[in-house]
Amino acid sequence: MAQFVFMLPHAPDRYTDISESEFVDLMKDYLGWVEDMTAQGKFKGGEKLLDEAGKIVTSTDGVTEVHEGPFSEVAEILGGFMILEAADYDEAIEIARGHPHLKHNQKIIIRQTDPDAD
Amino acid sequence: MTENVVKRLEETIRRERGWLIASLVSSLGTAKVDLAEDVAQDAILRALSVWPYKGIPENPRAWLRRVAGNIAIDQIRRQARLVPHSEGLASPTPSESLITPTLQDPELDLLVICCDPRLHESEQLALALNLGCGFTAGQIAPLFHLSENALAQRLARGKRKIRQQSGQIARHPTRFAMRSRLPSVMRVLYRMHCSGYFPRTGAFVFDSVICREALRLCQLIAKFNPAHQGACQALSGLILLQMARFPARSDAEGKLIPLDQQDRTLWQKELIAAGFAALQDGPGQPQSNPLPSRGRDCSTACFGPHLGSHGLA
Repeated sequence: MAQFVFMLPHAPDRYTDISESEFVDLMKDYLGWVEDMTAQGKFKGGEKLLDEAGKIVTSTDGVTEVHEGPFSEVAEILGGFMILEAADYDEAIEIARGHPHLKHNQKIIIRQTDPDAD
Repeated sequence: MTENVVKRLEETIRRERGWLIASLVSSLGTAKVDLAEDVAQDAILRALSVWPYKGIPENPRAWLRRVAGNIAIDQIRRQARLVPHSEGLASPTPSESLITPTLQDPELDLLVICCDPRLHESEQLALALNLGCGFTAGQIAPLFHLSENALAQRLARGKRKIRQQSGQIARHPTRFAMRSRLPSVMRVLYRMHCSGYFPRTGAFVFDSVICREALRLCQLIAKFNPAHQGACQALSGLILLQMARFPARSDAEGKLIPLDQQDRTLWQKELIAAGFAALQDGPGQPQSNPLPSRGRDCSTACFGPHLGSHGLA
């Protein structure tokens, strides 16, 4: 079985303007889905990222610079990522189709991890 | 995702909220019941935003309690900075005890606190449902035929009175007040059960969740307070026997089916057996029957048909 990273981006203001009960309903959807996937042995873990722009460290001609957020050009921020197990990209895409993130946001970025790295 | 998963999640959230508030009130004191509620809500929101990514932890309750303890410490420190002298003495010093609950039965403590004799019985019930069982004002309001707003006001009034409790009873409610408040506690649990048992406004809804909650609290009292076992067994027995008929009580459209027309094969035999067992082992039977007379009528009405239909009478 291969492992796939599901990156879940959302609009910067996606969760700031909704009521608490709306937020609870959204998260219940996610949590229920994760429960389902865990029961099927497909969910392998994940991390939620803090809702902030973060920092970017650059190196130009040997000079290191730290750029603080917010980055005005950012159209979306990465909410977090999950690791799912699937036979191949086809199955990973099938799994993504049922993901509540697609219902409540627009995009899931899927990348396969390199199995040789294990 | 199945309906079941969502239902189970909702119930877990509600249950954990009730337990968290109880546990926080037992560490923070009754004066801080509002803070406990806010902190519990914050911890739940944090769980809901993190758990989808990491999965539900093995011990969700311990996770929530740890996070809630940290939030409480932060908030108390912040308040202490804002109000350097006036409230300083009254508020407990943030300490480890906030992170690890020390009392074994914080939920019972909170129930006893809610049954303050200065509160009207329906205020006691509303508070017990809200603080002790984790139901929101919106969920409770229909039980009292009130708007959510009116119920929220009733809760706020009750909490004001609770905050004024002090002394030993406020610190160790179960130890110092369980005996004197037992009749109120039992009445509240009985009414809690009834509010789940009887049809309400609009579509017929009976809520086995509320009945189960009353049963759970009743059994918790029996576990921690052997002296009150008789009263608890009697009430547990009644609740179990009535809950046994739930699957037969409504038709496909959710309309109530009267007792004589119910399909008795749907009655839950394990619950009936457990109900009779509870009634029989109550040591010495209830010293003083804590149920109001309506409760006894109700129990007679319920035992008769049960006994008859099972050839036990």
